[in-house]
Amino acid sequence: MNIIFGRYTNYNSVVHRIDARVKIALLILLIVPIFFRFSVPSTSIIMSVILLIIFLFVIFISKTKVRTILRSIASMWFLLVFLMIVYLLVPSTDPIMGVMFSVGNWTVYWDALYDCLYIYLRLMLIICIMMILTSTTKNTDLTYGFEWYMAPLKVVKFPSHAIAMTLSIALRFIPTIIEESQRILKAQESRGIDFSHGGLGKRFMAIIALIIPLFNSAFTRSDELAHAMEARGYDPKAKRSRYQKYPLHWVDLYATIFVVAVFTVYLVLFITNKDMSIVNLIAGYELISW
Amino acid sequence: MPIKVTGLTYIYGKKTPTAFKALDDINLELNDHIFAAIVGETGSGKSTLVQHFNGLLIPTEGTVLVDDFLIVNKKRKNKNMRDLRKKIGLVFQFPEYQLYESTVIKDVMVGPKNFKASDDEAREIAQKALAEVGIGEDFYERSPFDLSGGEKRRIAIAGILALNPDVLVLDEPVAGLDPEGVEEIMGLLTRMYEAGKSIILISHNMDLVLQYAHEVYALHQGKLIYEGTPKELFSHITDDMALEIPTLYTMINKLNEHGMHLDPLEVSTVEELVSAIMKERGLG
Repeated sequence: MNIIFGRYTNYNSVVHRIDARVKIALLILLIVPIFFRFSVPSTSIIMSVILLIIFLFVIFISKTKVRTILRSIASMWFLLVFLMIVYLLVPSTDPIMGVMFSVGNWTVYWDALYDCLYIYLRLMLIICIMMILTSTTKNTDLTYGFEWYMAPLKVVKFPSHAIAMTLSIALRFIPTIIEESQRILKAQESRGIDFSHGGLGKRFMAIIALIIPLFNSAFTRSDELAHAMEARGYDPKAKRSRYQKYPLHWVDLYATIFVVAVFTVYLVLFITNKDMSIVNLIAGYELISW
Repeated sequence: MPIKVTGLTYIYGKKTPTAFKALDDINLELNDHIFAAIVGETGSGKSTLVQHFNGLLIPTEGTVLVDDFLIVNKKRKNKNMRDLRKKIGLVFQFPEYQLYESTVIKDVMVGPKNFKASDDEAREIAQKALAEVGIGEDFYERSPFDLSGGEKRRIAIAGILALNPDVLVLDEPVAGLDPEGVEEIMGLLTRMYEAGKSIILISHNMDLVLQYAHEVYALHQGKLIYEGTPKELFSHITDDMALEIPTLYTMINKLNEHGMHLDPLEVSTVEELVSAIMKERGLG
């Protein structure tokens, strides 16, 4: 159902223990190298694959479910096919890899295929990293992280707390609404409404039987929540304390060192050797070290 | 329609760190034409159990045999689940949340129409079901969302009655209703029982269980810890069952503490208590 977000699973891995604020920053540091594109295609692919291996390593130690990642990729099949078609139809600018096939005066270069596969690879990297973040960080911690980063904006009267609160309420109610939808689903199934068989029209009618009660209860719920908050004197502008403290630990430092190291290697390679192939790169470094 | 449960175990979220064993090796047999109650504290597995009766949940281990429908942990073997759902009508807790049609009558017609009734047939069935729950014709064209909680609930129950099930399973049918609403629903269930249907009721309200149910099944942490009559259960109740004692029995216990000798096995209604006291006092 959910494409990019994994469900938080309560393991106690190293990745789970990293502070949410640190994790968000590190995530961004890991997303940036995904977009480094080297002009020699093999270099780009190799660098991305290395990044993928690093991500898979993190996935492994954080016990994120590989199956959910694969499922989310599978659920995007339409987008993937669409991308492939667009890449093959749109003419490549300076092709360097030769002709794949041509029909009349329409030529498709290998570049198109390469570009497309490269996009797939990047997409997969981004999905992996988002999955790692969302399945190892509690929603409350995540919103705390975002709020912490938005704090400087308070100077310009940006309602960062209100936004964080809205966000955390929304995230808080996702499991509740999923549960609710399961219950309504079962209740409607008990009335003989069939959600998994029948034609498109029938399924559509079945979905209505789910959506309307779901909206109805979601609105009732939000109304009740708003009243309950007001009844307890909730003031969005009040200064408030926190139930939990978020101290930094050694694990945060180690993780930062690891990610910054990866990031630096990618950045240095990108700036200095944008046009070199990976073979030259390795050869070059061997010369320096000798 | 007899229901036979053998070695039923159900685990929520199997193979995840949050795996939870909701039912643990349950064995029970429910006969034809019964008025049974399933009791137990929150989280004892009552709702999980009844969802197996109409195949909404599939056992992790064990089997559920309803008439000749066998529900086992093999997907391709569980056929005709929809036919099963027509025979076992399951009313969920707060069933008013399942209403979605634009008018009351249309909402009750949903069930029969899903089982291939024509519009006219469905309408006829719906009118009958609504009459049974005491909803008059003036309600038919109103939106179900504009009604009171008790009315909504009766309409939702009518939605299940319209399927004409042999067994009616209700999860906390009186939760959140006022005394009048409670009486209406319980009266309805008694009439249904007298009309030949089986009633299986989940309830926290031990007074109702004592007053209406003929047999009772108590669950505790996913295990079946008691089966028998309500009177026996409540006169042998222990703390580890985590059940409340009916008001009537609290009263009897208090009276007995003060020197009376009332037998709890002979009392299940206020009238019976009154006559027992009269007899004790030599007035009856």
